[in-house]
Amino acid sequence: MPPFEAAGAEMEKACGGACVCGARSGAAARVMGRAIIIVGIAGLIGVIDSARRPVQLALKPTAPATIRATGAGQGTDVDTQTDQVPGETEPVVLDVRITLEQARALYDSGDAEFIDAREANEYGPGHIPGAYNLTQADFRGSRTPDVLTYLDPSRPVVIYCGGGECHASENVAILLQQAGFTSIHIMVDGFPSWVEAGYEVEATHDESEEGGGS
Amino acid sequence: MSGGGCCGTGPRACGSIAVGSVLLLALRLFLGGVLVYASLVKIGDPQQFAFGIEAYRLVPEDAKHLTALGAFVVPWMELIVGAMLVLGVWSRSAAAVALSLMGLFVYAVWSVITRDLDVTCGCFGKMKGPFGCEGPIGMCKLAENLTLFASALALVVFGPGSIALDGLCRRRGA
Repeated sequence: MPPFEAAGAEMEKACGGACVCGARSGAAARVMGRAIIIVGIAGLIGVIDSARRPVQLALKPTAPATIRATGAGQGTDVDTQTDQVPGETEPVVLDVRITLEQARALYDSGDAEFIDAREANEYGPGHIPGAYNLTQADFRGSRTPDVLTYLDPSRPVVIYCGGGECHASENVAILLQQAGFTSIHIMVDGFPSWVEAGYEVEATHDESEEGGGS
Repeated sequence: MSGGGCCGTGPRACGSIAVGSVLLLALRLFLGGVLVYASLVKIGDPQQFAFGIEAYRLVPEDAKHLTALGAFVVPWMELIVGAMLVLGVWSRSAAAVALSLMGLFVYAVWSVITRDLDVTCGCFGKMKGPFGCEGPIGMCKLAENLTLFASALALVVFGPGSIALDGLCRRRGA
């Protein structure tokens, strides 16, 4: 006997037909009807809640940093102003997503902060020198991570993670934007490309330390 | 159905409370408690839950609005269903919704494992779930979700037992 029928039969037996609860027939339909009501109420509350405090799943436009080529191989310089230096090439306005070379130019200029969005156990053994470790989990519970007190929201920041398909950089970028940072860039190739290029790497052995300093 | 086990003079009129009803109560409190806790974590920080949904890569990139909507609807559904299970109100219907949710979660976890994605659940915030699973999603998280799925299924099949508000019903004409 199907479970709902069995429940109905048991009910009839127990109540001797005097019970005002539902009869055997239609029990399953009533369960499903009530389930639909529950889903509908939850959906309605969810929609109202989402209108009250929307979530952000993509970066809004940010103030881009610019770099200007010095014309000599890898030598590039950063310029967060719009002024063009006489005799030099047109400044390159960076997209939100930047290449390894563009990130390196920003690094060499010293005008950008670097943020490593990987977990602490990945950051500790090796990261870009001076990069702060900041993961999306550090923002959990709508709290402000301590490391943000060291950073100037108006300065460009470059975020990287494990490269390839990691979402960590994008998520931290969104959270930084919500925290008031205005110039945010993501190094899309991530830390592996930095290592492959032979650039310098710094290790931090104390994992309780949140950042490597600027 | 959700009114199963009702009697004209209240649950005790059917005789002593059966061991089965105590087990069903324990099952309801377990499943309902887990759902309520998980929902409060998510409702408190929908942004993190939205990131969590994205990480599973089950929703197409051009349907981010669905991810955003799910980040609000799912936790409220968990909260309402969890509270109803704990109290024993419309228990079978609540268990049916919980069964659907857990089915979805089992599929999502299984899909992450088979695609070899490196995803951390974050379902319970900084706390561990009932199985104490840590790190990226793996077989531990799958077992946890299957246990919750089985709990919901048992409640749909056997009902809430007599120790539930569903078990209290009015005597005809009273």
